[in-house]
Amino acid sequence: MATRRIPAQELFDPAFLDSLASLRLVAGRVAPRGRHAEHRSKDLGGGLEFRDYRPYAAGDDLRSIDWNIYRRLGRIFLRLFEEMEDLPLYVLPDVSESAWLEESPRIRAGLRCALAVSAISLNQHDRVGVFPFAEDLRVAVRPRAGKRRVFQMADELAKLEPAGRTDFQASLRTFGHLRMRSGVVAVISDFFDPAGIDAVVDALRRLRHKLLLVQLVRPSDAEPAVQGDVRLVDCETGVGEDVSVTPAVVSAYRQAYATFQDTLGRFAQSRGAGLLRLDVEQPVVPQLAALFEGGRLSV
Amino acid sequence: MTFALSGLWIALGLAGLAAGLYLLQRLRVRHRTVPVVTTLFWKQALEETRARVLVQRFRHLPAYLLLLAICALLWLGFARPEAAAGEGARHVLLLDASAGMAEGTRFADAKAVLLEDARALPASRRQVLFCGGHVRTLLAPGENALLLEKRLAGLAPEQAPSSLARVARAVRQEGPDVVVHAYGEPAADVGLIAFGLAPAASGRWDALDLLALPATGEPFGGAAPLLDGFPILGDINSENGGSHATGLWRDLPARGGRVVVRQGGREHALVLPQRQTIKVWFGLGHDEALRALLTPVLRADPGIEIGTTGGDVQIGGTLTIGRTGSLSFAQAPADTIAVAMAGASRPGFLGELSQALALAEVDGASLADALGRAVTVTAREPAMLDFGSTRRVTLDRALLDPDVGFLRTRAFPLLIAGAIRLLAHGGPLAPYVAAGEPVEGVTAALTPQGGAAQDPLDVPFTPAVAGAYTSPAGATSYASLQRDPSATPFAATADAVAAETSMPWARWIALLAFVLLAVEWMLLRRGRIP
Repeated sequence: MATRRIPAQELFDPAFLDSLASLRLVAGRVAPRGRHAEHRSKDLGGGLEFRDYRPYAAGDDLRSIDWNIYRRLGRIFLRLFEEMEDLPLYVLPDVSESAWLEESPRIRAGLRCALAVSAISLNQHDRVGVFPFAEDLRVAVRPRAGKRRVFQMADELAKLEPAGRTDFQASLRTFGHLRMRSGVVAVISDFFDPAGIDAVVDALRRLRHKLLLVQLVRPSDAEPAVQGDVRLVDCETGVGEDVSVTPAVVSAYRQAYATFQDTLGRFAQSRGAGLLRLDVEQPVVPQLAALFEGGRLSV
Repeated sequence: MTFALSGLWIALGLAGLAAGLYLLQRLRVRHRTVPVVTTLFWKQALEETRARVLVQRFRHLPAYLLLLAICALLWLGFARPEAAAGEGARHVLLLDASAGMAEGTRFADAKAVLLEDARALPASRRQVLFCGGHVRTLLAPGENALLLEKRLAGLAPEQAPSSLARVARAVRQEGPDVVVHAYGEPAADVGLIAFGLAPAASGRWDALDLLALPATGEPFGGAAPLLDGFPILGDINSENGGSHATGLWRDLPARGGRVVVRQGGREHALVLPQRQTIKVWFGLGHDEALRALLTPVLRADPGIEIGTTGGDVQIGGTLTIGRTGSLSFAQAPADTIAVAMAGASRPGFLGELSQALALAEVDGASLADALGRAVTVTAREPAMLDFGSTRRVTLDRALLDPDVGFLRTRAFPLLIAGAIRLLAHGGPLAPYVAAGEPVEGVTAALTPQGGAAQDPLDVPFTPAVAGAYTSPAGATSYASLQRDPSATPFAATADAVAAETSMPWARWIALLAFVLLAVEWMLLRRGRIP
């Protein structure tokens, strides 16, 4: 059986990277104990920007004591400065069978999107890891920093292959077990989990990370093109459904799809997560840039 | 609108279609397999709108009704709806099979038009009649038109005059709701309309006169007819101020020759009959005085030859031995001039005898005056001693009495000649016998060659078709065609048929079914119906 991979040439080209150079992913305050980078951290450390005072404790660095306060008040305080650390990005591309179906598979746009957000973070000296998932999640690229890693990232993404059915519960549970440093989880998927959108939302809700949801959509999702008497076979489960497509059935389908979209949107809103509905039949970068208002996306 | 099928069958068919289609609608259909990224939403949609399966709710009423309408229309079309523009009218289609229809493709064309019209007319209210020498039914009401096609296949015109007018009159008398359609057209050029033979006016037994009558309005100016290839000189008489000429050629020898007449670019031919000289002989024990009286008369007749024993007719004598008949003279009962025996029981013989003896004409009156009493002809059953002859005529011996004076009249040789001819060959040949016209003086049924006599007795015999007829006595007559045989009183009545079939329900129903099929296909393509 021939492997179904997306060639790296389709994912990566210099123009693609140049178009992403102006985009930045910004966090309010990153989790502590990160490596030095461009994001303000919850850690207080030896940065340049003054942040606060605190009383001296044994073992503190004497160079941080504010001697002027000591002279006025006779008490010893330390001057605290902002710590600039990185914002880890965990890219979770959906590699289930549904992403590889159809003549223009969703995985192509999904991997380009994954590479794009990875490149944006790498440009900010953030660490980026890739965790493809389907029935379960695996580590494809451990979180690492470095602008040059974007090429390695493209190679790794190009090696991805279909991996069965979608199971958000199992995959995100596995991700949780990895106990990664709090960062941004970019889930790039169609979110078509046979367990339903409620199971997807429930799994996402358990993540302790900031979320960036990229939903891979296409127009036929909302307006199905099938007609007549058809047996619709789920490409992931292999289960068929005999459908006589009538206006009533199509109307019910639209209603179900709208509910699905609404559920995902309300979750993203309630969680403060970014939600990008990426039309896989349109260029990726312009749609992605629209998400970055003024070139910045705050998570 | 009516239907060829009964209302019960139509209702049962519609009910069966409705039930069958209902079951089909509920049966699972064969689905086309389409792989999709997820069936998540379809499952939810199907929770409300399930595909049709036997155990689930019937959900496709519009599609069912559309299909039912199509099938019902097809079923109604199969039930053969019939037009009702002339609701209640009965259509009688008359096919002209007279001799004039034999011209060219006239008969085939008439059959084709008739068949087409018959198909268009309601089966229950149409009847097709064949109007030839005899009228017979080709298609009875209610019969399928396919039968008519087969029955028309072997038909050909007959040598008969057109009977359309007579049949049409008879059919119309059946009621005011009868619509008559005639199929036939007048002949444009038939050459002769009458062509036949008659006994020679000269009285010669072994000769015949030939009569030829051209079509109406045509001058008779053809070349002389040919008898066995040689031209015949004759007369052309004129009637009606010369507008209608008749060809008459007299004293053609009756020896089986072939006569050909060309007229109107056509060739008409007939074969003359063979008439042998009648051989008579005087029987044993005949009266010499009788022989002396009759011998000059017999010798003067060119059709009679006096011979020895064994001729055709025996004259006189005490014992009848002749092959065909005998003529004798004896004392007859009062007021009786002739007594017919041995054959008198044959129908019509007395009439033939009376005609042969010319008693019904001026000679009869002359003879009655001479005898001073009425002249009658009677029949008597033969006595036990009479044998050997099938026909026997006994004339009153008083006719031979010189005091009566009948011997000196011109009627005497004619009486003798008529009696001998009757005894030799049966009844007299009608001077003019035409198909469709009653033959005066012939009340016996003549038998057409190859057929059986159909006309009743004691009424003037009317030959149906032209051709040879044989009298019961064996004499042959040749019936010609009636004057103007091709005249047809009707033109084709296509308008009446068109009016009747102006609403071809079957076609409209088929067209409507086709439109509904197209609508169903369009809706199916657009996914409006399953």
